[in-house]
Amino acid sequence: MADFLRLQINMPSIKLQSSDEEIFDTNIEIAKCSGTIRTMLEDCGMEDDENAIVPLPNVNSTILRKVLTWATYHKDDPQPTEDDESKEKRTDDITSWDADFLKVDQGTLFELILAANYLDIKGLLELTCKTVANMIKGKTPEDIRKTFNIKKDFTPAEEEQVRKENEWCEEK
Amino acid sequence: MTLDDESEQYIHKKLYRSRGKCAIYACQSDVYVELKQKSNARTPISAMAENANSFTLDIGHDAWFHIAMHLEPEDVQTFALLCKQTAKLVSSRVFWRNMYKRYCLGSTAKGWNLELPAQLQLEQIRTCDTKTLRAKVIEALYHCYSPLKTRLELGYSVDWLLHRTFMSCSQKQYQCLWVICYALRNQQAIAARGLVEDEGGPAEADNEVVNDWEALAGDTDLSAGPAKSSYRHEGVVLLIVLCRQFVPLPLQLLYNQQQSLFRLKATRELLCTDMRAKNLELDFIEDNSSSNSLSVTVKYSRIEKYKVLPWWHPDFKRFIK
Repeated sequence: MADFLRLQINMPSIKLQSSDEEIFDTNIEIAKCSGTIRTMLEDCGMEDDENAIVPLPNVNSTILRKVLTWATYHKDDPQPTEDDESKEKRTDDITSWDADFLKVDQGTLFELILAANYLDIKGLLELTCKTVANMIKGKTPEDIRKTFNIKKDFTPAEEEQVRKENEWCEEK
Repeated sequence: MTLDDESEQYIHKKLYRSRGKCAIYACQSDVYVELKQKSNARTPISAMAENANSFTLDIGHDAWFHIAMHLEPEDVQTFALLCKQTAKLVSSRVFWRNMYKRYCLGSTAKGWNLELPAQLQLEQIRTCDTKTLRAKVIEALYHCYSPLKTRLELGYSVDWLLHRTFMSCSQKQYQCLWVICYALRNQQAIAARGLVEDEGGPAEADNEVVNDWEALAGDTDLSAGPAKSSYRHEGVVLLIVLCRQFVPLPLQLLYNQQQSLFRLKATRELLCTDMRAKNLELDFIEDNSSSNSLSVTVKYSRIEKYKVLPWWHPDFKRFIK
């Protein structure tokens, strides 16, 4: 236990700056689950500089806080390999912690997708996309538009055309 | 004329002196009043509430793209029907490549999948155009994605053919049976594709005048269809009827004077009086808006069986070349 605490205390940290200029003092190993931050640290030689600030202009503080919460919980998860990426993606294997973590409004959910993409966090990107894919499942397009406040921009003819083009996946 | 003279002349042109006590006025043509728009009318509360409710989430292309990459095949239509942005994503090359990679790629070093026929292997579909790629991936999904395979086992009802346009009909004898094959097409599938990326080629090719009429006469396949898409069978559905009795081909449908199209209006599956077989009746109607449109009914009595084969069905190509 004492060793673990020492490890935590001795772990170097870095400062992440959100788009609204809030500074997050973060454990470097947790921050490195982001491919973008990892590359920045390696390429700019910021790893040894404790006062260096990593700017993240595309992520605001609310979303960055959520991302770091997720990254802290999943810090020991193995990094997904290229083989994992090409595998059939199941949408029903979300853990209860992740499901609770993503009980957020739609705006936050979509911002998390964009943040995960920007920060290059494959696990979070997959999780958020799976969650939206699950929200789409079994619903009509009209229901989904209502859920996500999406404006229907099809003319009736265009809508019918798209429907017919994709009739191959209709259940008869 | 000096510069000063010119300036003075300009000033005189712009101003004039009145006869009364008032001094100098600007010419009327140069004076105008600009009304300040100030609305005193307040926005009604109901309208404000409506505005608040009509807030639409601006989901960027990037977010939709990532979601599209995680869709399951059976949700593609629903996703495409959300908005134009999602419809475009669903017709993109990257979407179909991803779909193939996730569900159809085999585990061998070259990605061969033993469940797939040769023409649907990765090597064969890698270089084809987007529309062909899409069609081939859909076919491949029906070979190796179990929820879709199950649908094939359940089969398609004859009513699924309703409102489709007649394209061609042929029959041949196989042992003691007559095999009648109707090809019907989805009208929407042949309409101009405004939402999918326009490659320009096929639509232009359709308008070309063909001088070599002999070549046309020799072409017995489905080229009669209006759209000559890169994957020409997309949107085609076959109705295969097996019958012991010979029934002449419906000539009104095949050689109709007005060259108009016929739609399948109704189908009837009726039990024979001895309750040992079924009769199948197909009602076709001329596809025009006039009230006196021609109607043709084709009756097949005591059929052995029938099968509906959409273009993605693995058996489709056995009946059409």
